[in-house]
Amino acid sequence: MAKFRNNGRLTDTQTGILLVIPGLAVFIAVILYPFISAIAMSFTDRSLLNPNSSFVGLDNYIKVFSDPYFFQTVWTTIIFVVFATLIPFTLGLIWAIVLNQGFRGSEFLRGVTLVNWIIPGTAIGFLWSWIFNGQYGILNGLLSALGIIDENISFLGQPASALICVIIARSWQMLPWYMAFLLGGLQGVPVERIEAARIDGANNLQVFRYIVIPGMRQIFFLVLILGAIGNLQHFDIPWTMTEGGPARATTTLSIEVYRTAFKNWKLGQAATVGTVWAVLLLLFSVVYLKQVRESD
Amino acid sequence: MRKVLAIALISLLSLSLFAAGAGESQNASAESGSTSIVWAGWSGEEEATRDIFQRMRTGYEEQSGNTVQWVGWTWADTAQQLLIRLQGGEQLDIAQTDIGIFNTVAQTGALADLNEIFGREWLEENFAPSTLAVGQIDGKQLGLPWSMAAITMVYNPQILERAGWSEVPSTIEEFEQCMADIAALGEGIIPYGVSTKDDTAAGDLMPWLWTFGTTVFNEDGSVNLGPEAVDTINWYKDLLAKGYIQMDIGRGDARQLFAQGMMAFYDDAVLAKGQAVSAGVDPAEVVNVCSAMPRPVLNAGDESQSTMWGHMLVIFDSSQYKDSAADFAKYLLSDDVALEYFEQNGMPPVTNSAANTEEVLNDEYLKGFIDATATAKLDETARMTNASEIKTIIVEELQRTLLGQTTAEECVENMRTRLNAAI
Repeated sequence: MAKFRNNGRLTDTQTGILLVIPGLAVFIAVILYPFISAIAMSFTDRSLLNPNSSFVGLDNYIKVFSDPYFFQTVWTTIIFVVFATLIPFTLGLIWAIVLNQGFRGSEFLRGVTLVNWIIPGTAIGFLWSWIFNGQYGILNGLLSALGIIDENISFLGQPASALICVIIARSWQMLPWYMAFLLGGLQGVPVERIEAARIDGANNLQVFRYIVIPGMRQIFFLVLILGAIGNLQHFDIPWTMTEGGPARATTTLSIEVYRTAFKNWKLGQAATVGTVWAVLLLLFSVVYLKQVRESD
Repeated sequence: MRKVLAIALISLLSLSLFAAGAGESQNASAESGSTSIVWAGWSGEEEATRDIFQRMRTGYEEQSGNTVQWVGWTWADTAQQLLIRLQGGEQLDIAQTDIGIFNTVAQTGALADLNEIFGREWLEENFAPSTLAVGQIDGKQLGLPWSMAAITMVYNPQILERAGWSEVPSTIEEFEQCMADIAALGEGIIPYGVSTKDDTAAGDLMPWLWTFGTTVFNEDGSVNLGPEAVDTINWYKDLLAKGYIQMDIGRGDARQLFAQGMMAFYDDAVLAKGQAVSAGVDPAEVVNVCSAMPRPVLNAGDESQSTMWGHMLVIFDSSQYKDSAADFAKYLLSDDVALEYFEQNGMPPVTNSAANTEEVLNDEYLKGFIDATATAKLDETARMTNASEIKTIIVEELQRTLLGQTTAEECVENMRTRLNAAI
């Protein structure tokens, strides 16, 4: 009898449960089941060449962790995530501050800036490959025309420069995303406080240091965490620009998973790398969720 | 609310009836003898071959009354997409494969034995035994040869002439001198576009290893890489140091630069012609800017090395329409269709009747490729299940050495260690 009250109508709790069920079902079908299935697959020798598979225990984990190049991949991923997050964050912040001045045409500029973010990652990858191409790239053409170089530079053919090029392309893509978030944050900083600080004699730098940064600390944190998670998952730009080369210099975990699964056909081993990758993602996600909870 | 529910139910019922009707109509179509087959591959997606693939389909549809549905991807994605489609149980009747993709798909056990579909007699009547052999695995005819030749070196005769070479270099010593002369022209031409990135770098390295006198694997499948492998890698390093070859060059880059007249030599198959034609060269004039040549040898008198190249058609065991797929394959191999493909894209026909036409035999462009085919070998990974993994190892270690991270000796040793773990 406790099930129905109010003349057979559902209670608030029951209604709540009913409303949650469709979302929960979708979550289980689309996220939870594939996730658990992938973890289970990491303990098998599942291959794209054979639909049958058998349990291999920790073999895949031993193989992955005993591969000397795996830790290089993790390191490359960390470098990519750190720089591909901090560079567009910094530039996005500067650009947001400029646009926040509200000068004539700032809204138009804000719209134009968002174009980078709308373009698909693969198109951006090809665009920047063309810019950095060592034979017919426009950057080489420009440097040559300015008399800065005598011979073309193989930007994507050298390990260090290839990684820098990939980070630049990703930063270019994500700059508007950071800008949009940070602009929103800037507009949320109380004008009264800034005006009060100015009356007290604070210069621009001091206003930024003592009013703007503390006022935006939370959004800085969330944007950085979300950006880092996005970069940790990112695949299309490095793949289209370098396919992880040269000599694995731009191979991140996402590329390693793709290559192991769809080039080497080893789904079980790819799931192992994916599980390690998910653990790394989980660390960021936990920090993010903690912050969201605190801000609530 | 009830009204909304009623409308939703009626809509669902109508949809179900429509779906059932569509299913019946499909069955009826199958019963009446007209079938719809799925043809998969990559050339129908490429600019140079898209039109002719479309004509092949429509030509067959008009002739047979059957429907051919094309499913295509890039060449690089074809193997994985075929595997995914196979594991997903989606309809696949016939596919275009190259030698590498053929082997990968064959390892899944998903291919039909064509001896049973076409009959051994028909196959032997229409193809040379050496051609048929490329599509055979464990005594089964799993691939039907469609176009076959060799990957050899191509060169731009006009650039060589400007560099003072009226004949192609035949030894490595001459080849180096020729590249030096081309570099000395000062026109910014890359002398040799050997691949230094992606899987094609491994494919290009193999015939040079053979030229220097070694192989990646022994006949029993164990890793070989004799001392000559170190010489080969050192030679690559030397070419890079002199600026004769470059990093970050793949087959696609080489084709593009070659078509622009910015590269003198590179390795390719007959479809180099299609690239030149796409770049605006008259098909009849292609030989003036793109000709095949024998790969230079280490010592005069050595056998020139090249890699077997070819496209095959495969039919899937799971196909419900194997007969229609076979019928379509026969149409593609028919003289008229094969010769048009040859004329437009330089793809050499393989059936006895088409390969022996005057048109093919007298084709100046094709001659160099056909000559190279006589001694061409299969890529050493062509029959390996993990060919891509093996190639990745070879390319990564080669790149490390070319980038100065390891010596040639370390390169070969690292390759050996990693290959031993992978096989």
